[in-house]
Amino acid sequence: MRDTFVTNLAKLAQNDEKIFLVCGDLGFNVLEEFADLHPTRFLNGGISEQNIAGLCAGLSREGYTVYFYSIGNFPTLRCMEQIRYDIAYHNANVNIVAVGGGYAYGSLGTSHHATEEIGMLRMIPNMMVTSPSDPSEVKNILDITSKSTSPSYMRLNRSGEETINYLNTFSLGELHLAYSGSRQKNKAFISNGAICFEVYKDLVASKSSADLFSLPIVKPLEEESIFTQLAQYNEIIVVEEHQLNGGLGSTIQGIICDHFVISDSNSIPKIHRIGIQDSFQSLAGSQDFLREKAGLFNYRNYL
Amino acid sequence: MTTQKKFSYKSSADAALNIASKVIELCAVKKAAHMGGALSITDFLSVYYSFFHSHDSSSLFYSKGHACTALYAALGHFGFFDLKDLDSYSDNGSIFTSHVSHHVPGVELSTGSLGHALSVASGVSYAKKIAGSNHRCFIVLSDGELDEGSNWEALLFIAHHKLPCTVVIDYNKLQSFGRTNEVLNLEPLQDKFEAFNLKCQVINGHDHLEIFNALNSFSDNPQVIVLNTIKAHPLKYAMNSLESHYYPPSSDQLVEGLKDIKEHYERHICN
Repeated sequence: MRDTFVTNLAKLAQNDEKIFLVCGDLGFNVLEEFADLHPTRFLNGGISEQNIAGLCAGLSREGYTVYFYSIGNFPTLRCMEQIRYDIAYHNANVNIVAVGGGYAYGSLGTSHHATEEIGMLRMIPNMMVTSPSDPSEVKNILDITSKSTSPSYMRLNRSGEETINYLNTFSLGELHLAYSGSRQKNKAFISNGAICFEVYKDLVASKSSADLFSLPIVKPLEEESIFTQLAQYNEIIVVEEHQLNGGLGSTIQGIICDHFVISDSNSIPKIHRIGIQDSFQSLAGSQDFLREKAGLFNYRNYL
Repeated sequence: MTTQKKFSYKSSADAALNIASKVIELCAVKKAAHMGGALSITDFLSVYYSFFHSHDSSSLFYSKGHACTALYAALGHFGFFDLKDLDSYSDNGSIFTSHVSHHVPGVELSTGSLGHALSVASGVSYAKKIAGSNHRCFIVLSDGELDEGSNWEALLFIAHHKLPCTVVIDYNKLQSFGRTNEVLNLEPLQDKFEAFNLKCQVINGHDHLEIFNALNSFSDNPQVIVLNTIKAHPLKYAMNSLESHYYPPSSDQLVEGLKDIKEHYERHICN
């Protein structure tokens, strides 16, 4: 995902001289591809995320489409108020991109676990919040944010993620079918980010009859369309590498409950939410080890 | 950037008289806070907008958003909007919120949370510089605001990239809960800026000619001007008091204060 982001941003910047990339002294052996091609539109602002968030808002006022790249919590939680006030309130054309979503940097410790940022950013008006499930969605989201003039956030995992073949269409704010188990519409999994690929692999391996949707855009959403699609199922399992409070599962719950109230339906699907249960992980471990510890693989009970 | 305009006390003191009077009127009528810090920066705003502001080649970022009455009154005085509009200050539905709003004509950036404007201005300045423009950003900060670490991040950046920014500190030496040297000592302040490779002048922030000369002395490099100011200047009853950060003037204090302002500035206008 990380490499897809940099390669495609560098490509987009060849035709769009307003694309500007700022980093917070991170991205060694990653960002050079952009920096070498577009040296005047690359800036390392130093280890100073609060300043960089404001600085990006300033650059965008001069017409730039700014991308601010760093690791997990640094371009997000560390400068949340600058994002809210300097970027979102002024509707600045600043796109924040964080690598190391969820437990991707597992053994680096809790400082590097990005497990709350989607919920926090989702609450801020004007922010588009995204968590692509595979490299193809990274590219599609980049195409959208590079043309938009509003702020956005994109959570990346790290590098080497595979493409989910089924994902061949992309529309803003919609569910994307990633696996189709049967036409019975009994059970649907919904996920995003790198863990979506884990769900996909398990569904394929178990020849599950359930369906899997990727929901790479967490906000804004085509709520009515999502409700109509999901209302057909008996059971929904939402899987996210994020705290349950404020994440994808609560987003889906909200949509289903809100739209059920104003719909003609007599029942709604059962919703199971799989995510982090209000806790930190303080042990060293790989991404999968920490996912297991946090109970994220419990979705396997519903395959 | 130097100004083509010639200094005259008459123009800037006339502006200061209007701005300061409007500040205390608004605070009295609307029972609004933050009068002291608005009055301490009034002389700077008067000189800046009288002689240095240019739509094309300068912009002013006002980081001390709580002292909004002075900026609003200055923008009204200098014709960005009808000064009468400001009578709706802080009313339900007014664009004139009690911390600076970018919805007000002439305002570059909404502020109110301290330690934001310097970073945003440094982004604007960086973009202007790489575009080859001779644009200069003026950023007005309070002294208490220097407690915020984000300012020092931005100062590192401005110094490193030699951005054409003028950073102005309203050093009235009083912050929300006490004197700056008691809450979190800033001294030696000039040395701190100079240690960041920033040229720094310390001047009398109520002397219009000193402000003019300081603003007029700059090259393309970043500069810091520390304005030695007095909170709630020139109100005899309120000068240098912490209370002027909070309490609006009573009706008697308003009458007395308007008299103080008139006397103070008319002395300059007559000169």
